[in-house]
Order: sequence, then structure tokens, then C-alpha cells
Amino acid sequence: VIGRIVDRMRQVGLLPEEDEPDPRDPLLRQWKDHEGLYGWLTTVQNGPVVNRYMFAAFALFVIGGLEALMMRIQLARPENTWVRPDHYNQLFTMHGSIMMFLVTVPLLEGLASFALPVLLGARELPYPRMTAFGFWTFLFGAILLYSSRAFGEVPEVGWTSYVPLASNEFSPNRGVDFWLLGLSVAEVAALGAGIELVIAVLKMRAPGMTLSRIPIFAWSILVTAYAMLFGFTPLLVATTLLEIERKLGTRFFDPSAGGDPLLWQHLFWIFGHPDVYIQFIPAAGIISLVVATFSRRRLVGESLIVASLIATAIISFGLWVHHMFSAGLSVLGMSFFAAASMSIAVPSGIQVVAWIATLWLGRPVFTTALLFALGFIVTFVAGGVTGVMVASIPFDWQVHDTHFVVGHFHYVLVGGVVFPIFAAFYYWMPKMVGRALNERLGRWNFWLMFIGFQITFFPMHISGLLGMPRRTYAYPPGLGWDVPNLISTIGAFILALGVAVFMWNAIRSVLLGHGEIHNDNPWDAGTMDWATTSPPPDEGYRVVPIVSSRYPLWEQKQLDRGDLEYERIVHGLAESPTAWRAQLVTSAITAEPQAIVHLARPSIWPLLAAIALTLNFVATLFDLVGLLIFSTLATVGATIGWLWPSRLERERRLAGSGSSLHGLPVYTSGTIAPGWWTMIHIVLVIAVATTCLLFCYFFLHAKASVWPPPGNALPELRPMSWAAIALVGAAGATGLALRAIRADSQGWLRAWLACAVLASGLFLATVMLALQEPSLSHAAHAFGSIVLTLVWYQIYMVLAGIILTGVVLVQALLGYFDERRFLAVQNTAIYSATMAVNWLAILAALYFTSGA
Amino acid sequence: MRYWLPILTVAGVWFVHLAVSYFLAWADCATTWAGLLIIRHVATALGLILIVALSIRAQRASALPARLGTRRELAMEQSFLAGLTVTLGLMFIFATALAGAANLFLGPCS
Repeated sequence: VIGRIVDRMRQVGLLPEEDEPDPRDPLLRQWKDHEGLYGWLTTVQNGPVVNRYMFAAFALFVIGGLEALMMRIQLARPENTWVRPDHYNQLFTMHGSIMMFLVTVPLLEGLASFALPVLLGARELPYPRMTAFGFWTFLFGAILLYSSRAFGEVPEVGWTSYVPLASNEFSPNRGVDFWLLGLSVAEVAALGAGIELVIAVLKMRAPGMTLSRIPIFAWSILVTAYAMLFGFTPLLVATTLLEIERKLGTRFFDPSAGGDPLLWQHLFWIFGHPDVYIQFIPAAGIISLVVATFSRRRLVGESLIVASLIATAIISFGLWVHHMFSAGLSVLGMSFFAAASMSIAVPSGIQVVAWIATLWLGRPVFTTALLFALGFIVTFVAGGVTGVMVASIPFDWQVHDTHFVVGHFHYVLVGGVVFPIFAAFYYWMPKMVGRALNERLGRWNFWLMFIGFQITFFPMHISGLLGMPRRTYAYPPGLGWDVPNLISTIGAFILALGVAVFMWNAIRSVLLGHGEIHNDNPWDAGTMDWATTSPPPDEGYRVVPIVSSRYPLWEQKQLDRGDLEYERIVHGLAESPTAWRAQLVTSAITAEPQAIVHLARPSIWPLLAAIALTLNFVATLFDLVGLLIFSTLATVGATIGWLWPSRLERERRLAGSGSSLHGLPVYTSGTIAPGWWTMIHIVLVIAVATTCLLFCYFFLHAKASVWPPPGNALPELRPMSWAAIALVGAAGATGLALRAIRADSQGWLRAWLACAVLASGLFLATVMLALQEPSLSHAAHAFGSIVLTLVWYQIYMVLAGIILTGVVLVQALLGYFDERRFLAVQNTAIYSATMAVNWLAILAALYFTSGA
Repeated sequence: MRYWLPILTVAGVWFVHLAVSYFLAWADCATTWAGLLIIRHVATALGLILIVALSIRAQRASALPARLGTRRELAMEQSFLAGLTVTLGLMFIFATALAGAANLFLGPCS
């Protein structure tokens, strides 16, 4: 039995594979990993990486669930002493944190990373090394967070880490630091995943898969990925500010020095509320797939569903204040956000009606996946209704921080996210690992989880209405809370039993191999994820499909036939190139083939970069200056190694590979190149980060009676303006470098890049000199804290720009660029221009609003 | 970008209206000038007019490519995006009107 389990774990990438002879087919050889442990560590194939991602996230789900069970045992009867109060605080903090940050989001990212390539007709995700890096950073972030237990410094301030509770004064041990830094590692992974998923959906679709033919799940991932870029960036800013407050003594959140604890709440909830929808929207995408497949018909109102997904994501960014209704804001001000909170029920309701209409008009087959989808609809609607209730300000005041809110958000997050994830497990397991989960056990799994869930969380609404506060470790008898709590605890065990049944089902069907499937499309689904073998081959699609419908498997007779030009391209691509991993790039709207790009091969760099980055955070955590310097250099080195062109690219052997067959260019730049799109999205993330920091500045400014406070002053304007001129000069120089390489002028390219490095260096020197101003201290007042944070933020960004430009200069000296191959130069020019605009925006905000 | 712009603008108008309403309510409470109440209502009316105008413009623009002989697939996608803009417009009209309605019932300092 153990041998079979080990074999299966090898097959799905959870353990290193045994050595196998190289396949004779050159295309297959190209997509094969290295052998043994090294191959396991260096693989960048989305199949095995996603399986590990899902396995690790599910293990954390079980740990988080056990923590919840311990809380429920504690609350089963009044005045219980089973868990100490500080342990109880640790339990709810870790349970909330890992479920929100390290379970649902990674599970959905994993499902998206697995499903998108096959669903879109791509061979791989655009940045396979980023997928691998995402997994390693996620894993190391989780280990870092949980290692707090080994040090006896577990976070105990709740998953929201509100200040002043999370400040040094009230949380002097390193628990909060573990929380902040562990999550920061995971946030980096989420931002990387966000950009990769956007590029995948916009640029890696099969020919003919126009916007209106993109499957709803892919739409949901596109919308979610943008929400991640806009949502996780404020969280990264917030956690960084709190960490530097704790480590360096800044005063952002200290009211005695011009700071404000409400600033943390704003920043946290600007992320926190959209985060609910970052989880819900892909879950809704899963439900759309499952409902359509098992209703045996197209979804009703597909375009309406797409519009609803977009509206839900956008409105979710205007709701954060409803988490702060009891924080003392003006009633009229809160009413605007209450209105937005109620408005979001409209797009959510549209989707629910569309799913019900699809089921009504179809011929539903009640598989376990569909049962979970139905469980989702019932539970999510109930959670949505209580959501509208708490969007009402007076009602929110009544139930704020009570078990009513705990019941509400579990209805939304378990009903709205966990049930769809289980639906996805049952739906996609045959595709992921070539084995289906047992349906009979699946029904036990569903009904135990569904009934257990309702028994656990419905009574919390009652105990909450009776006044039971959340996050309380014990309660006195006789308040009417005893019975609802006992029922909740019984329900929690039934729910846990349901999860245990799923685990047994997975072991039996997948690892012991009982879940054999008889064809590659066991559900008779219409979307392209079922067009390949199950599990998909390493090379994905040998012949990239041509799409003319949203449900190609239902409505197209042949996937490799269609437009004659497209046919020539996809069949040509199957023949050549085979000397490197090639991927078709298509236009964002009409999905017309535009180019072939080179995908990364297996590499150790993602793992090394993740280790270096994690060490960086560990060094910060334990104040290890030497390790901090080493790990910073190691991170930079690993990133350069990662991005350095492969030998094939350096020797220009990509060009001409099969171009007579497929007729598409290999080297591209501008809007055709995925790399250009990536840089644009990096710029977007920088813009969001700058906006967040400027929001902090204006927020603190608005709260202050005098700005700048007495004894504080901005650095002299003159050197800061010279610094701005230097940055504009650097941007201009990179622009001229781009113009030079377009004219194939290697000498001017090198000269202008060197000028850009010098100008950026001049910026650093000028600003550092200006910061010698003695009247500005980061620790005296929030004014100095935020001003210096803005300036140092810019310094770090420019430093990154110098490294980027320097690396491109070295590549230019080695002759890697010509008039067709200049994407790196173009991206450097975009980055330099962004830095200049960023600094001008910061200067304008600082000097126009402080009377300087 | 020009195809996505109407969608983003419709959403942007709603968000700007939310932020401006919050700021005007704060400013109205801090001053005694009665004109700010009118400005708050005007801001809502302006937001609604903008969303309606953008939706109509997107709908009209989607008919243009067919007349100009643009490729069928592109025309189809423009029509799809116009449909999205109009649907989103309707949702954001509701959201903007609901937020603006608060100005009718609550004073700035309540």
C-alpha cells in the first residue's frame, strides 16, 4: 500500500520522480524535467507545482480547522478552562490568519494556475518560474508564520492586528513581527501571481478565443487578478508601515505624536474587504463552470455574469469603511459606504439568478460537485442577506464584534469560498491527477459538511444577537449563550467529520488508485480544460486549439480546424520549434496570433530567490544585520540570475525556428510582448503603492491641527528639485537608449544607458545629502515618519532601477540587443519614466501641501 | 485601451462620486456655507449624467465599426464590450443614486 501511495505521489509531483529515459520525441524531451531530487526542486511545470501548492494549502486548511475545533471545545460550555486565555487568543489569530491568507487565496490561485492553461488553450502559464517562486514563497511564508510557536511567540492580536494592540507597547514579543513578516512573504507571492494570471488571460489564449468567448472562470480569474494587484499592495504597505513602526519607532499609529490608529484600520480594510471578493469571485467562476457542465447547457446570461464579476470587484473597493462603522466616523459619511455595501448585492444577486435559471432550464445531473455548488448558493445567499443587514449602520452598531458577525462572515467565506473549492476538487480531480473522487463518499462528504456547517454557524447569529462578543475565551452561564454554543460545537465536529471523509476519499481514490476514469472528459464538459488527456501532458497542447465558441467541446466538431491562417500557425507550431519551449501569443481582444515566445525551462533560481527573500525577512525579524545584508545581496543576485537570458537567447538561436511553418515573429516588443504587459502591471502596482503612501500622508495631514508640526520641516526644496531633474534626466536617457537600439546603434545604446545609471546615482547622492536636515526625524512625529517613508520608498525604487539599468547595460555591452530584440531596454525606459513621475508626484504632495 | 476605457470610466465615476461625497460631507460639516448642500446634490446629478452619457456613447460606438467595414470579429468584440459598459452603467447608476440619496435624508454633521 505504501509503495502504491509513493508511486502516486511521484506521479503527481509531490515526491521526486524516478529516473526515466528521455523521450525520443523532441517536443516531449523539451518539456521534460531534470531527474531526481534536483528535478523536483527545479521544476517549473504548472502541473506538479500546482499539486504541491494545493497539497500544502490543504494541509494548512486542516491545521486551521483543528485550531477552530479547539476553540469550539473551549466554548462548548460556560466558564470552561480547557484553553488558557492567551492560548485562545493565539488560536483565533492563527485560525483567521491562515484561513484568510494561506488557505483560500492560495487554493484558488493553485486552481487558477492549474486550470487556466488548459482552459485557454495555452501550453503553460506565461512565467513558469514565477509560478514556482510563488509556491516556494508561500511555503516559506507559512513556515515562518508557524515557526513562531517554536519560539513561544505566537501572534495573539487577531487576524486584523489592530493597533494599538499590535504596537510594541501592548505586544512587546515578536508574535506580531512573525505575523507581519510571514504574511509579507505570502503577499509578494500573491502580487507575482496576480500579474502572471492577468498576462495569461490577456495574451496566452488560443486563436479565436475572443473576449466574448473567454470561459467565465477565466474572466473571474482576470477580474480577481486585478483585484489582487489593487488589494494586496495596500496590505503590503500597511504591514511594512506597522513593521517599521515596531522596529524603527516611527509614529504613524501613535496619537501622542500625530499618528492615528484609524490609519491602520483604513489601510487594512482597503485590502481586507476586497480580499473577501478576491476569494469569492474565482469561487463564483468555479460555480459557473460546474453549473453549466452539470446542467448540460450554456449558462443563462453569460455577458451579465461577466459584467457582474467586474462590478463586484470594483464596488468591493468602496466598502471598506463598513468595517469601521463603530470607529466614530460621521453618520453621513458612513451612509455613502453603507449604500455601496448594499449596492454590491445587485451584481451578486444577478449571478445567483443566472445560476438558478441555468439549472431550471437545463437537465441537472446531481454529482457531488453540483451538490457543493447548490450548497454554495443556499449558504452564500444566507450570508449575503446578513451582509445587507450589517451594512445598515444601526444594526451594525448592535451586532458589531459579536458572534453574529462571526456567523455572517463564515456563511460568506465557507459557503461562498470553501464549498466552491470542494466543488472544484470533485470537478477537476480527474483532470489534475487522472483519478476521480468517489461519488458515494462525496455525497457523505457534502451532506456532513453542509449540515455540520449550518449547525455550527447558524446558532452564532442567535448568540450574537443575545450579545455574545467574539474573541472571548469564556462566558458566564445564564445569559442564553450556553445552548447555541453547545450546538455550534457539535456542528463543528460534524463539519470536521465531513472534511475527514474528503481526506479518506482523496487517499482512497487518488493515492490508492481506486478512482479510475474511463475517458478524458468524464463529465462531458464543454470547456477546453477537458480537451487534453487527464492529467494534461507536460507539453500541454501539442496542436494549439482554434476556438470559435465559449463551449468548444460541445459546439465545435474539431479543435484544430477553423480559419485557414490559424490552421497553418497551430500545425506549424506543433512541428517547430522543438528546440525550446514555445508558446503562442495572441492579441488581447480578438485573440489573433501575434508571436511566439520562449518559455523558461526548469531552474533552481526561483527556489534560491525564495530562500534569499525569506532569509531577508528572518533577518529583519531577529535584527540580524549581517544576514540582512547577505540575504539582500542574495535576493538581488538570484533575481539577476533568474532573469538573465538563456544561452539560446544569447546566441540568437530562437530566431528562424520554424518561422517558415508558423510565420510568426519570435522576438517582439511593445504591446505584443507579454514582457511589456508585465512591466505595465508592475507600474500599476507601484502607482497603487504610491497612492497608498500619499493617502497616509493626507490622512495624517487632515488629522493634524498644525502641519508641519512645530520643530519639524521638510528638507530644502532646492536639492530635492535637483534630484527630480536627475531622475527626469535618467528617464530621458533610457528613452534615448531605446531610440538608439531601434536604429541598431549599439554605441549610443551603451552611452545612454550609462548616462541613465549616472543620473540615477546623482539622484541618490542629492537626496541623501538633503536628508541630513536635522529637523526631520522619523521617531519624533508622524510628519517625519511619513515624509521619510515616502522619500526612502523612492530611494529603494530608484536603487532597484539602477540595478535594472546596470544589468541591461552589461547585456548591451555583451551585445545581446539589436533592432528587433530590445524588450529589456524598453522596459527599463518605462521603469525610469515611472520613477520620475513617482518622484514628481511625491514632491508635489509634500511641498504644495505643507506651506513650503 | 480605448476599448476598455468606457468600462473603467463608468466605474471611475462611481468611485470618484463616493470619494467626493465623503469629502463634501466633511467640508459641509466644517463650514456654515449652505451652498455645499447644493454642490453635494449637483455632484450626484453630474455623476449620474456622466454614467448615462458614457453608456450611450459606448453603445453608439459599437455600431460604428460595422458601418466602417471593420473586421467582423473586432466589431463583435466591440459590441460585447459596449454591452458590458451599458450593463455596468446600469449597476453604477443604482449605486451612485443610492449613495447620493443619503444627502437627502441626513445632515452633514449627523
